[in-house]
Amino acid sequence: MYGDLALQLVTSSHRSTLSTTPQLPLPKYALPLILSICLETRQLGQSITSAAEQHGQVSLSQDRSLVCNLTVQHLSARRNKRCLLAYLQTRVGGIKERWWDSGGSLAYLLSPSSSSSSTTGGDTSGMGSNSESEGTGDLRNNLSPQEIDFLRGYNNLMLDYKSDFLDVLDLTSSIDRPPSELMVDVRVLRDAGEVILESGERLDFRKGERFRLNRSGVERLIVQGYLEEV
Amino acid sequence: MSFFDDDENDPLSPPNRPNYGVRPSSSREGSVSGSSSFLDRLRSTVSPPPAHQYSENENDRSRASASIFDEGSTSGRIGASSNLDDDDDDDHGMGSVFGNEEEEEDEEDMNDVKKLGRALMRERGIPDLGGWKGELIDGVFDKLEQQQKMVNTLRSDPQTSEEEHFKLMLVQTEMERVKYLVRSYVRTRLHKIERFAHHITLTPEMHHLLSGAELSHARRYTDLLHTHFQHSALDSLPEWLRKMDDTYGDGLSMVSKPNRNTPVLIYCRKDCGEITLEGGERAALARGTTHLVKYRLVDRWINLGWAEVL
Repeated sequence: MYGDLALQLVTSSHRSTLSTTPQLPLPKYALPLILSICLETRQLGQSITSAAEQHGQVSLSQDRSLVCNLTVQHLSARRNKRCLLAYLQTRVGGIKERWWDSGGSLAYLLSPSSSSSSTTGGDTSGMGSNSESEGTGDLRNNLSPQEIDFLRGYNNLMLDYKSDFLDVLDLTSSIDRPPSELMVDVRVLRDAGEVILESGERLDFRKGERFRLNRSGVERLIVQGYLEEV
Repeated sequence: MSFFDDDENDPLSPPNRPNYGVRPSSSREGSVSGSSSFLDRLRSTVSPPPAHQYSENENDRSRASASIFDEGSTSGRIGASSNLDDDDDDDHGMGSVFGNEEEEEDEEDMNDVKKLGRALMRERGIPDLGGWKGELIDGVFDKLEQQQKMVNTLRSDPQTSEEEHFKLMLVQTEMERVKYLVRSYVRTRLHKIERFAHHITLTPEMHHLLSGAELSHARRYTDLLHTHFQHSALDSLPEWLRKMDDTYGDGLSMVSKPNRNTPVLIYCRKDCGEITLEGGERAALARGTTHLVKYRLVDRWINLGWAEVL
């Protein structure tokens, strides 16, 4: 029946919370399903145009079965479009949420494995990664090329926007809860290599070590799962 | 939530004033009371006491130190910076702070941090987009920058004592908290702007509510999203289905608008008169009462600041 595939697409996306929960991996882009929905919609479109051409104005006002037929096809086509966009929109929401969750770091978000990151440039092996990093790790595989473009575009957009504020504050750092302490005790979960802090200090983060550091300086590394608050 | 409540009752930054105003060498008395309010503060970080607790004997002081970011403290900081060169200026610095501060309290004027907290609450509470508080944000940014400079100078000053270093740390924490407020405010707005981006670009009446950067963000975001939709799906659909601003048969438009029928919980700060509810019933919004009503009905009181969104 018309719209079955679209229904399948929306219900599966509606039932699963995967795409809206940043901690979990984003489900794979349902390309085959989307292509078949587009195909179905195109066929509907063709059938509508040809039917309308064949019969012409006169019969449109008289032939009730034809009118009914066209209406159903028309509604199905629109519904398909709506389902497609709803699916995409849900994913866009999820993608944006992941972007914010990662502290606005595109390279980290798209990195194929959890090993390399934009902040450090360290190429150490990423062992013992937690579920979040695994999830974001294969984000690139689960996105469609268009979605990657969108993410890039969004990233640029936000970079532009936050540059106005950057001399005073970093807009993309966490707003989960208000900061109560200036310093934070952290444990290194993954080797992050040598990092130069705001104060000009150089620190070599090795797995298992513990530090007491300025929160704002290492916020990003905490978000990205290199450090863990103790 | 509790954080903002703290804001209301408990002035965030009592430690800041003694920090600059009181040098141990110059005024013994000030230093003592300064450090005792300091201890209060320390305890209060664990469990914030209600404000009146130290308004008993330290009324003036806690008022004077109500915030680093209000008008009065600007002069306080100037006084403080001169402290670095000349300790004798202390009392002048403090005096001017007291003066300004008390006037402000009389006028029931709020300091910037309080205003910011309230703006954030409002922005989070209402379904619509509120006006951009450009002046407030600029003011807070200026003060943050000044404060950062002060902290840097004092930190690198070898004369700064151990105790003062500790106080400086509290000042910095305070700054982080203010930054948190700004960040939350800006991001709450961004979230709404992105949600209604298309509607905003199509409605010129809404443009004055946004800052320039926000407006261009809304426009570019709309473009970006539409390009994404076009490339992902719409391009493969028949041409008559490719538009982004259709209205469906049931009157639902593709352009999503803020739902002004969303209920909001409001607290009336002033007497707001009566409103007529949907069923023709009338309800009085008396001062000090709390109501759960549709946003559409009370938006002007909220915009006037007579009612507060909870």
